[in-house]
Amino acid sequence: MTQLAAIPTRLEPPTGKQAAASSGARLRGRELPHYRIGPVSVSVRSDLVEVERAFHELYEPYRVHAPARGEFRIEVIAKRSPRSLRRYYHIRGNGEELFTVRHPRSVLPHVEWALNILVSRYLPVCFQIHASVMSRHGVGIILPAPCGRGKTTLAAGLLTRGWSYLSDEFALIDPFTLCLQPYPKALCVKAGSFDTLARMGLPLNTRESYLKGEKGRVAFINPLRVRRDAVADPCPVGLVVFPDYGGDAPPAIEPMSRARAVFELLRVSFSFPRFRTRGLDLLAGVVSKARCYRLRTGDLVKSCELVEACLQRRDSGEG
Amino acid sequence: MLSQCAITRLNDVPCRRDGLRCRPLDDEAVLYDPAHHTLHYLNQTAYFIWARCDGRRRVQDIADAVAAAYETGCEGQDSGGQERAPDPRVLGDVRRTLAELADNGLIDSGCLDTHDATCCNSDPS
Repeated sequence: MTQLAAIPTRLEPPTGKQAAASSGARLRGRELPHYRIGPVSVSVRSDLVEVERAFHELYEPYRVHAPARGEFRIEVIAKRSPRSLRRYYHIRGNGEELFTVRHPRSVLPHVEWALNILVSRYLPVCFQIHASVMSRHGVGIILPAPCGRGKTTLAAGLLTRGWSYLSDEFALIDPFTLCLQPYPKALCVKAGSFDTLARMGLPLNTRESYLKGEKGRVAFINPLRVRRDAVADPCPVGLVVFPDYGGDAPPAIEPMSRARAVFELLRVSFSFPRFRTRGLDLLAGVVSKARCYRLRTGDLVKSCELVEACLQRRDSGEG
Repeated sequence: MLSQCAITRLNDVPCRRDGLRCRPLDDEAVLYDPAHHTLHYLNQTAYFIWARCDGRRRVQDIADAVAAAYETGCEGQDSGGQERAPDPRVLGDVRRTLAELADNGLIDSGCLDTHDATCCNSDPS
């Protein structure tokens, strides 16, 4: 009946020394590209030029010409191991070394991952939940889940069916308006979903795939390649749907109480350690106006239909 | 494992712990304990019981209230004016719930078998 939540530990900002270490990003004689993706400003500099190019292809519409205050700095530095003489790629975020990878095809996913880490640690404004976020007709849906539960696949499926996109990684809730903010990072699709999503019309370039640790082969898709107007404006939350992959079992959806939903959302929130009581009040306010469900995903088309039916029931005021 | 201070006697008077943040939603609630940075989800029955731990009601009174709310037990007084015991199943469930609430630090055990109303907030939220 009562249940304790595992609360993520608060992560501290980098020290001055760490921040100074990244100032090398402005060196090397090249102009550093800057991007503003939703509320997130970032620059990426890579010794592996194709990583900069691939990042630019994904985020070209969000390119800006000057760095914003509080910009996140990501660097990829190639170094040879003095012992093996193998080349390794060191991925740094705001000067702190976050990953070291061996394979060039592993670099871009880890750059994306590094950006997610920086957002979760240092973006103070919004309340953050680990979730995919979509919207339809101005109504937002949060799909919260830990990794591996199928939230990205479900979001991509909804995208192909005309839904608008806000995020594949974070539900960013403005604490003043309680609206969802778009953070339209590229969707990171795992190899196991390539065929299904391709059949649904997602323009995935699977030849441009990458390697992401335990996730294996992944491909990135810029939502604007699906539709030019695919990215949603800020919107209120109308649905909260917790997906969980059910394998071969038929998809099913069942209502969840709002209190249970708030409890589960706080467990996958990156901001709760910082917001604390205010975070509880904020989420309770958000969820009090939403309908909440637990979805066992499986067949993607059927899963999307179940979500759409819930939205339809909400819009028509059915119970 | 249930707390050693589990509330088991009919005359124990449990009370909500001070300092908890409660957000009721529909008939349930989420509690946040800022001191330990822990979250608790209370389903309908647990919230019903916790909300009545006001330092005045005895365990028996709470069990009566549960029985009345869920229409499962006999409560109040019989025709002779004697207090009737609540349904033993309801009482058992209430005791288990109170023990679990105590185990999770959501009620104090300071008012057991006493009638000290000063240790509780009057408003659960």
